[in-house]
Amino acid sequence: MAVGQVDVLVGLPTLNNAATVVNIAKAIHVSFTRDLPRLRTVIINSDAGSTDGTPELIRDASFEHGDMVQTSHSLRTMHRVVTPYHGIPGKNTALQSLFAAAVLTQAETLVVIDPAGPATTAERVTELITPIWRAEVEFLAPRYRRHPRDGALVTQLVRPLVRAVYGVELDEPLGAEFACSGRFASHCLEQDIWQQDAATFAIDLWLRTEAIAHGLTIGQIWRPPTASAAPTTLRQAVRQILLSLLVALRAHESFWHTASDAVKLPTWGDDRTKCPGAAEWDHVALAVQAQHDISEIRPLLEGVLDPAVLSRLVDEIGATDPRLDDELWVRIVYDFLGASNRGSAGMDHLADMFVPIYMWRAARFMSFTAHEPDDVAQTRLNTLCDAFLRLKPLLVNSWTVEV
Amino acid sequence: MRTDAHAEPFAPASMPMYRSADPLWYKDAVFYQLHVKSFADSNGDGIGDFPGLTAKLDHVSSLGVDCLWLQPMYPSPFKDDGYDISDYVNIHPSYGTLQDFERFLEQAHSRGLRVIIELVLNHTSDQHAWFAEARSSRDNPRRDWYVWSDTDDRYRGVRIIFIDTELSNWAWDPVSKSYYWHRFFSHQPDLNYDNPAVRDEVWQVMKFWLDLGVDGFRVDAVPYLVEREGTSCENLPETHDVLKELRAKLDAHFTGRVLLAEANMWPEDVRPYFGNGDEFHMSFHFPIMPRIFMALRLEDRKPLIDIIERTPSIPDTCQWAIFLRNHDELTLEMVTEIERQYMWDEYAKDPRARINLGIRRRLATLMEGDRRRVQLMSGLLMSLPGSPIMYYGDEIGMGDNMYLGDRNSVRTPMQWSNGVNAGFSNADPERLWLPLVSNALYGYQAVNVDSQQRNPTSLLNWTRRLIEVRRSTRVFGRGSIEFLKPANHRVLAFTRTLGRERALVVCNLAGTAQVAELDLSALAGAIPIEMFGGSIFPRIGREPYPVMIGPYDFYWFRLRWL
Repeated sequence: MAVGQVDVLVGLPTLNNAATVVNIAKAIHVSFTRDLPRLRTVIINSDAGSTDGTPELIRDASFEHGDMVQTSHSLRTMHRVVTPYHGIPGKNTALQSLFAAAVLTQAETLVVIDPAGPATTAERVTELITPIWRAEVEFLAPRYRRHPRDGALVTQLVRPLVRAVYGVELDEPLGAEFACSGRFASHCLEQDIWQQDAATFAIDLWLRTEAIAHGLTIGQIWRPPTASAAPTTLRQAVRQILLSLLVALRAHESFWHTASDAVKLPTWGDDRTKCPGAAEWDHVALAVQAQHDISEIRPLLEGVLDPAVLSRLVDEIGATDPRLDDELWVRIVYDFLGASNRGSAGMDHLADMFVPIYMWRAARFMSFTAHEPDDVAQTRLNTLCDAFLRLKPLLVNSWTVEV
Repeated sequence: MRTDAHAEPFAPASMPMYRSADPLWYKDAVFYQLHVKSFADSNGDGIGDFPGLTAKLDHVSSLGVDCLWLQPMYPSPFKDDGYDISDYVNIHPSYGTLQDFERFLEQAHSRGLRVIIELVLNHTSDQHAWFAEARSSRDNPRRDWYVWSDTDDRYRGVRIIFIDTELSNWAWDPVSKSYYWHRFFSHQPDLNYDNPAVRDEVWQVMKFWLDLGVDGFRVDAVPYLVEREGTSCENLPETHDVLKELRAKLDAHFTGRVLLAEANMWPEDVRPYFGNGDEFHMSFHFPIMPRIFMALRLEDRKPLIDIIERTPSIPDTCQWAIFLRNHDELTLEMVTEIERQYMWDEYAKDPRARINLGIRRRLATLMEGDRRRVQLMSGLLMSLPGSPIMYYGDEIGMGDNMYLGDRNSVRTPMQWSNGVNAGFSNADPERLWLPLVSNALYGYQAVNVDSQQRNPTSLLNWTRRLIEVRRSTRVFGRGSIEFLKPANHRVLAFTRTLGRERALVVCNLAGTAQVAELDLSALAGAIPIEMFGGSIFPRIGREPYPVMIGPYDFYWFRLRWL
């Protein structure tokens, strides 16, 4: 690669992001020019075959004029590499290309910016680069200001599970953006995750958990609220997350079995954004739908859930005075993960069974917190994290039990 | 009067056999800058002198350079390294006599070497007889030769140049009970160029030396000659008028002489000093120098290309003077704050290396003694647009002494041999005007002319070859430059074009081997012939031309259509 050895590589995986990429590329350029003038830098756009001119926009964007670099002047040549990647289009293939580029250029720091993510400014690009470049951490994950009633899949499932299982208080295990050391990129490239079918959607979670399991120093950085994820059905989303969790847990089994507590992570940047409002949910309708669906699949659940757990679930669904039973929810999740690992049923079937239970849990949390102050709702989320941690031995048992 | 007794029979003084008879010789010339006091001492007083310099002219001549530039050699109290002149038409007694100078000049000319000397126009020493008269009374006829005021509030807002030592541009004269104007040190009163008598006298000074045979002047501190209320008192139109007047007189009386301006400014700001070819023949290109160093350290051609591309064109009869090192610090005035900090961090980690806004080190030490980097830097100096100026001692990789005051670190005696006082002087070592560099890496025992003379692969002999190759074509002195910009930013590649003559230069700025694909399609059909060894490279086609190049290596190709 003509770019040669670099200090910082910023990757921009794209697929039809014409609306945002020019501003993002300019922000990166200003960051390089104004804040990191001494470093050897490169922007690499790894494109999945955009049809809206995304690569051309990046290649042709002029960064030398206008209001960007009036007072600053880069010491070095600024490289932009636009390259389509080969293989099956997907996040994992794009990241694999960027990791390979990082290895090839011996980059000390790799930053991946999500072109569909929150508005990127030069300051935010620099904030992502700096802790890695200064070797203060080796992996930096974004942290978003969320309303406690927003992003239930994260707050009710992924966050507390990852905290409990991996022993790290990581807020956003699924974020698309991150920064890491070149050493970690090189390590990841050697793992066998890339060719797995699930890697397309499991890669974000795997990267974070791999960083934890590999013993990297990890930090978080405040970022603006992320835009909504790509449109997908709830079933698809739940399925993908279950599978992602399974891929990660299988990969790091020897690590998480012995991990304990939940270590706090250092956080960089300012929490400059105002907390967004609560998501509007028709939790009553959601609960009715969930109740109906769970009743229909009850016989199937007998093969997944512990009888006592299933009994409690049935009681809860039919209760006239429902409770927010964290322990029940945690046990269900752990039973499902155990069943997934044991292969008690196909992933599609398990996901189909899990969807109404998740809907029930989400609706229950919404209804309980609908009239509560935000801080009380947040406390409930923290309590849930504690429950996941406290009951972790159940997962270990469920995971390893011989059927 | 010329002392023909010393003239060599094959080169009578009346017919100097210059290496180029072209009136525009300075466009092709390689200059060699030296301190008389640091070059060679003939009388054992520890200070270099003109007889000593004359005896060493064969060394200078053997380098293949065209012109010597001498640091100030005038009588002076030496409060500013001789730039405080107390007599413009004589030689400092430590350096010899006027006759010694004439003999030196004659011998230089006899070897085809031209000589330019310093001309400090802006100010004199306060020890000069003109100033003594001017301050003696307000009625003295020379009173108006300097800039006086009863108050110190005229020309308010004009910047102070030496902010470390001066509080004002006005100094109180207790003799005449008034203030005098000085842009530099307070012991250097500014001449009043609004006075026609001053302009005439300065011309007489120039004519004195020109009549003796000097080939031009390096004119010091040119932007400050004239003062006007409400202005910065720099680069004023009236200053240009003075300079044009002197140039017109020069042209009316002499041919083939050159005026070289010292104006440490951005190239676009220096451009007016060329006028329409009717002001200075040459001017230093200050900003290019730190960027050569920067490009090498960054392993990135960007800084160099940026500054050359922002350099305006100049009249055909004019030329830029470029250099790597000189008698001053490696000045970092013409860089941004970020660039300056970078240069300090990379080239002056030891705070003792820093002085003013620059670095007081020589080329070899800046390159950490790496022969490959020294050669690359010299290769760049000799191939970039402009006439190169080499600083004495750099041809053998002399070191410096940061423990000496001011900029004396780079003014130590020339290292001729590994004998007593490096062959510079027979004086007791304690008497040398500056101590010799004597450390294990750069000391005269290891780095000297004699030993390098005996080694065919020495830096000295390589430098001679470099200059010889440069002199084989005019394209480096007069050609246009076009950058090629291959994807690999560590490779600097450019062509120089003069009529049908064309050279291709490829430099690896990195300490690792590099490859670059050059777009030479516009030169399809040409055969690159490597200029140092004559090797013929594959003919250029329409396809990208791959060039593999070792660490800090460079190629000069002559392009031939055969």
